[in-house]
Amino acid sequence: HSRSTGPVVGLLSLTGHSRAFLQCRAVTDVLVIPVTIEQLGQALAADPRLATLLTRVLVSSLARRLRRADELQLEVDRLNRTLAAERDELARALEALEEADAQLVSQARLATIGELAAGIAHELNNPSAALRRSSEHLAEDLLALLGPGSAAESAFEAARREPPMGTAEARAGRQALAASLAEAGLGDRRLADRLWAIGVRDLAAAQRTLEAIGGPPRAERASRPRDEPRGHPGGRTELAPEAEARLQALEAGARAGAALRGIQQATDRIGTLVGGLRAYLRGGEGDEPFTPGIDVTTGVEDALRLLGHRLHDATVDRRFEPVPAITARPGALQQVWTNLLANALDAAGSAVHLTVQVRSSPTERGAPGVEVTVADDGPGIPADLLERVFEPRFTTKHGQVRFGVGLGLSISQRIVDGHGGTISVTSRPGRTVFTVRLPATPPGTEVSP
Amino acid sequence: MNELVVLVVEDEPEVREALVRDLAAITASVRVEAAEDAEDASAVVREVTAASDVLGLVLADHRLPGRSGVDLLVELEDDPAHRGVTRKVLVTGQADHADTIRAVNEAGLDHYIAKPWDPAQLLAVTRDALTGAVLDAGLDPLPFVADLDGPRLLEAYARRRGDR
Repeated sequence: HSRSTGPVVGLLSLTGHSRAFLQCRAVTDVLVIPVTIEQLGQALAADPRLATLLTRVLVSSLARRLRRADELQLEVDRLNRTLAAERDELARALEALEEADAQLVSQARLATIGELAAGIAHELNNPSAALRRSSEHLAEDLLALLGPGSAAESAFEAARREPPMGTAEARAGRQALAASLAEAGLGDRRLADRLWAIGVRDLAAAQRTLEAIGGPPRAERASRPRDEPRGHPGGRTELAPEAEARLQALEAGARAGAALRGIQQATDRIGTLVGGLRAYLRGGEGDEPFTPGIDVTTGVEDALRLLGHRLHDATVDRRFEPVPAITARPGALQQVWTNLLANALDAAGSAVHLTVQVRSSPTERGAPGVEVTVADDGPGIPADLLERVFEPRFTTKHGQVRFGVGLGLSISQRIVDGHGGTISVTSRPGRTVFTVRLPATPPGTEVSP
Repeated sequence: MNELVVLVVEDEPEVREALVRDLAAITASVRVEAAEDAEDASAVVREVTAASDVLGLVLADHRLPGRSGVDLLVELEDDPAHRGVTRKVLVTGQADHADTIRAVNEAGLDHYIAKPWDPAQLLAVTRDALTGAVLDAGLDPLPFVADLDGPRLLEAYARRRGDR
């Protein structure tokens, strides 16, 4: 400690005229001379030269102390700067870790969703096909049961093949039929509704049907006592029992036909939705292999279909041109299309006007390629944010826990990069366009001849 | 004409037809009308008003093209021709919390049936709702005894006869 203190120990207590307690551990041989203040006073009085010597030693000790204090201060500053630098590095490392963690979580989610989608696609494929076939077989057997050439069969077929009619149009038709029936004295509104339900659309058909079931109805006008409370449905027409039975058989045939039509339409819809999941049949994102012969248009259409429930109020302008087949990972690409479409919906609202274009676009070297653009009419991305949209964790969807947490576009970019392609964006208020370009053969997937 | 009418509002044809079909048991005394969107539903309501029929019940899906089912029910609550009589029921899988709260508080929703519906429950809710509508509209309960809540209607009928 001689660097700090010098040869004089107890300087402070000397200047403060106080007692000093000192502890010292020697690492070399040391000669210690304790001097009390009284003794110092006597020595100074005895020899004046001592004062000068003492002053010189005291000053140089103080100077050494001061110098040492400055050195220590510099040391502290240096250590502080080092500390600050390490702290910054730690903060950066932490951020990088958090980012990596979020990416992992998102990738895990994507992998899980991919697996889910693949599982659903596989599981639904068979029942969907079975539904289709069974409903066809059911139709054939019902026709046989109803009796070929029978009136019930005609009612069944008519209901089954009936083209869809809007409710307003159907209602107007029923009311017109009721009016002509009433005018011809053939029946009331209820009978008109029943005839309409079995496929009767005009007066002539009504007359034919009524004759076929056994004559027109007996009109029974219920007498209306004066104090009859309101709401009594008067003027009900009734059919003779055999005619009623035949009409009920026709109605059963028509109902069966309508139900079968409903089954087949619902089955078609399920089949379409399951088809929309076909991109996931090869597994989730993680282990999905590159597959040749992928049609990008099909993938984009599938994504549109899968988002169908969100596109309910949207207008979608499809511009699909013939494009070459490409080698790609269809499940991963589907996530890109879904991401772009979902972003457009989030930005522009559910009534968005979307323009989706798929066309052939050769690469810079002239090799075949495909370009997909998704344009929306939303408020746009501000110019200063535009270059950051592909950054991980960049999101303007504040306060909402959404799929991807701002990672959607960065993952889409990663997927597109993995396909040897590019993704870019231009934006102004009212028109934002994301463009994805993919080569037909990504680097590393060329098939060796 | 004073017919009792049920209005089914649903945009998907297969679902709409299934709903109508599930109400077949009451069609002897009740007329079932269908609309594919809120606009057509409003047209039906106007026709019912014009014909002096009674709109006993509206069974509406929420997710419709254009105006939503809840919007339609809120408008109906303010319709002087049917207020106090028409029962309102949502049959839906897609009304969120806010929509449902609005339906209850602003539209006077009487019941909520989640899709896919249980046909027995649908019929029970419909019968109960229409019975209330018949009584509130002051219709003669007798024609509806077979199709709706017979005992409740008969009790009302007996009370009414007793008041004479």
